[in-house]
Amino acid sequence: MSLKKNIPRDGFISLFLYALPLLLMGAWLYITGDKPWLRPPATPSIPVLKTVFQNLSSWGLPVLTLGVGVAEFLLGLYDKRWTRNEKILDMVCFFGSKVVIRPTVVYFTLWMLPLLLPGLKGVFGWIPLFWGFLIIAVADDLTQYWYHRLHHQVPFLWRFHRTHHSASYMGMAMASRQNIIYTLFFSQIYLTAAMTYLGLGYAALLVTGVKSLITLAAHSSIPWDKPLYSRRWLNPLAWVLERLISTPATHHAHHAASNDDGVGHYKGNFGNMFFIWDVIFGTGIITRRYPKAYGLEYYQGEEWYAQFLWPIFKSRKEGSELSAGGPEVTDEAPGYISPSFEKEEEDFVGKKYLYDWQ
Amino acid sequence: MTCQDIIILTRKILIGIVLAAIPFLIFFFGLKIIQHF
Repeated sequence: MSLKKNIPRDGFISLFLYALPLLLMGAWLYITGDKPWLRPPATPSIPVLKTVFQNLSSWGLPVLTLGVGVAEFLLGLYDKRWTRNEKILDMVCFFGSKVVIRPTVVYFTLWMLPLLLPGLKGVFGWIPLFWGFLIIAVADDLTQYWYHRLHHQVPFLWRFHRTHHSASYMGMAMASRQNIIYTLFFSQIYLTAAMTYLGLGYAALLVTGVKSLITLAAHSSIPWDKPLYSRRWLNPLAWVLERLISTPATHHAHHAASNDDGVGHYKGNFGNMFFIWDVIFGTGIITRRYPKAYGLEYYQGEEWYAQFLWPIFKSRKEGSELSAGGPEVTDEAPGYISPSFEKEEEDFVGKKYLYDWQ
Repeated sequence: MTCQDIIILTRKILIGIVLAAIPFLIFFFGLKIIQHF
């Protein structure tokens, strides 16, 4: 069965996965006999946590991100591939997303919710932080998995996500390098904002902080995971981590320019914070090596404004997917399931893990 | 922007809404049930 045919089946499995934290919490409350909704809503028991994650989600993450970016730049990790066009695109996407779009979307969503769901503000404020974290983490990341996967596997959505894959290098800026429409209609932003309105704000802040650290590190050109593979005593930790979260190795494989180097897997590894979704749905390949090249083999260096604002602005590059009347998807677009993909998929099933498991 | 672009945008927004709404409804009704079981 092809990966595309698997979309409805995996969708149904996802409904169960969304409900799983609720089932576990329900079972826990039933077993312990606890009824936290009868108590007044509690603030986090560790006040430091609140301060740390509030700051992390406001000014902390942008400062950290810039720090990583400066380190990558000083270490020469962008090489000479960071052309003027790419620099402008990366910076416009970074500031546009972090400073303008996301804060604005969250502000207006939280402004609209009392009108759409009157009287429900804080209604689930009784949920203990641990369970709130689990609920939001699944809500946020599984939704993003699907948002991301559909942009690879549904042809008309690909051009909204193409910008994220066009760079021939990896770096922290890749985490926010997206077309404006992709960022504006990021389902998971609205879902998280709604859960915050219902009273899971602290859990949402915690998830945002942890998720941002993991995704930033997965896109960064600093390979933090390499020591886990080279030191034998750390291998069991590596085994768990590479199945649970996105590591630089597995996520870099998703950004590979080709699948032919034995590492690249641009037709899978869709997980953002958690890699476990790829393990569950069979869309992942775990690797401990890094691809030889990144980006799109057919990349034409489209103008930054076309990559950021398509379809409002189009590229002048003839034959580009982003040009007026250009193809919806080029055959070799990452993740696109062409009719000739069936054979390739059979090979994919046979090479589930690319490293020698000991 | 052409008519075709507007149609693509509309389809994209609808997919976004469905992706946000389905898990939200699961959580909302699931939590309501848990709160009163």
